[in-house]
Amino acid sequence: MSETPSTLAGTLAKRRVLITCGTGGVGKTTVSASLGVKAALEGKRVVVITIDPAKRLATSLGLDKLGHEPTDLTAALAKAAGREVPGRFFALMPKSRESYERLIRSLTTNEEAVQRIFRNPILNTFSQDFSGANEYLALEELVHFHGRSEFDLVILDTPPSRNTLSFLEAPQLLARFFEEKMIRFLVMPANRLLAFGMRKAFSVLEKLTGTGFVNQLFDFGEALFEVQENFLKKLKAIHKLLQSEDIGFLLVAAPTPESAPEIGHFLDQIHGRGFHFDGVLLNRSLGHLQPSPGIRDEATKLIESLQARERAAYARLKESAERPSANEERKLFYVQLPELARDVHGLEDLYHVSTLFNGAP
Amino acid sequence: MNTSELSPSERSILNRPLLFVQGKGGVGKSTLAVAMARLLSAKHRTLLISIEDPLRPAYDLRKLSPTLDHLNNEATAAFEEYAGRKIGAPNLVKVFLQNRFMRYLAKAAPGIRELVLIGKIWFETRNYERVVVDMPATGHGLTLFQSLFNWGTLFAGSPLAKDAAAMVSTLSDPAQVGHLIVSLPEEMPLVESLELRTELRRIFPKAECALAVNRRFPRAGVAQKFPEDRPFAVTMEEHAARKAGLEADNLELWKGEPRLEIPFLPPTPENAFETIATGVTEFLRAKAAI
Repeated sequence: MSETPSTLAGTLAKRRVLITCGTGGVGKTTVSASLGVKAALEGKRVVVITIDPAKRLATSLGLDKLGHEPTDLTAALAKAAGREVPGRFFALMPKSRESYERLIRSLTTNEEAVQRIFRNPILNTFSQDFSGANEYLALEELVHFHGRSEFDLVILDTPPSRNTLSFLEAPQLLARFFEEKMIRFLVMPANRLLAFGMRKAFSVLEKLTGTGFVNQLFDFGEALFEVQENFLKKLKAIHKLLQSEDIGFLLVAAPTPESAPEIGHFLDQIHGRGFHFDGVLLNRSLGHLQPSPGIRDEATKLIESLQARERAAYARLKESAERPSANEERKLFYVQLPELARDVHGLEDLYHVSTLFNGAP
Repeated sequence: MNTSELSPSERSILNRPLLFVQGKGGVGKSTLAVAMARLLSAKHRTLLISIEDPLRPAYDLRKLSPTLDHLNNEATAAFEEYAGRKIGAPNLVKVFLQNRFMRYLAKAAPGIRELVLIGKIWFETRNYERVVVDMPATGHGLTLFQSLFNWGTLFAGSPLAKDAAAMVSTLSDPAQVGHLIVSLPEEMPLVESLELRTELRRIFPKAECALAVNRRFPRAGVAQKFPEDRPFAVTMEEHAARKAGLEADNLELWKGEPRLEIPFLPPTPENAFETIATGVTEFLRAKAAI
């Protein structure tokens, strides 16, 4: 059994890809970007990728737009940090249409097939900013950059969702869609005629959706037939890559008692798939705030009750970490990040956040 | 203009047959949705709809009170219900739903999920006087609405397209639909909320939106720029003072926008959601928000 990194430093040294997960609003993008800043300051060549309909990375980097290709922010970071950056710092926000086109082109050299796919209205609808598509395309970007030698570390900020696991489920759903010979079925008229149930089901579908849609569905099948095999190969490769020692998962969570079951569930899911879960970043903690003698108003009372809730959260986490089933392989690091008393506006703020990881175990 | 109160026209937005509670992740949409549903259920038969809450069984319908139900909407079940209703003949429904291809279509095709989720919401407006929807975070929420247009085009001329058109017509009608956009007094959610409103109006030009700022820190502050030295405070008092000033500064982004301001209620270590939902409901009741 390989040694499991159980510190943030160990994780940064070992992994070539870090995937940050978490529900919306926990500061996942800020944490991902600052982690990238930290690694760049320690000499790594880092690229931070976010697929985020809300364009948060660009905002937190103080940029209006990030391109589809990585933007080199090393010089800007050096200026913001007031020191030399021994590594490199890049960021990018892929446009899903371009990721999708690159994906299709990577699957076949047959230009006619490529054009047919691009023309199909069903595929065009799929490839727009739909939730499942975004999640798959995030993985697609990861594979693309993991293979590029100019980066030592890829940090993937996963699309925001209420369910942390939807990111993990997207490729499996797609794989099943393909693996069940669905595409093959769509292109083989003989099969259509053979299976009575199938014929019946399609006639119902046609009644509901109209002939146009069903024809487009067949066209979709024929268009995808060309790339089906390579696509499945790619999905397998992605799954294998996700299981490799190169890749670690991080969870960004709020320091509230509700996070304990979320972390436990996430841990089980990650391990169940043979992936590596490295640690939890508890963001926006108020635990560091000292009481101010003599001042007691609604505001300080609120802070006190938030601190009490945090303590309850840590007690719960400790409890679940000490479960008998928590064997060595499940050793995680926990990093507590203080809530900032100002908004994150740009690289300078990200630099400040990045220094806060240093207190990490 | 006193911006921390809602005008009568905004109150009416909160009292439409269908209310979408929207906003960035983590701003308290669920809390506000629960509070609004409880408030509305005092006078109307109300349904609160969550979208695929992973912590509850799919399509679970619960009675929260004699006049308030809570549904956990889920795409596969909604697809089955819709297909069942449309096809009619039970045998045919069975053939259709048990067909492997159709099952994958329902589960794996990204756009169909959104279409049936929104379809279920639309359908339930006939069964309840008020429907309050706890929407997914900004991007995914907009995708739900956008799917109506994409698929309406793909299914041109079919019964599905007709339903999609009927949904668009209901959802575009300000007499029937209100949007409550929830934010926190932080820069990114405030900016994103206004962008969300713009996007909503692009999809539904007559969309009427009420704004709410959740978790207002219980101290007044003056907008000020902070020294760059240290991004976090050391003492509670310093944090409180900085936070109050920061909020005042951030809320300049919503200058002149009427809005509901909801206080940051202290959580309890356990059951924080219920404590705060109760507190927010009481606050809204006292404010006569509807």
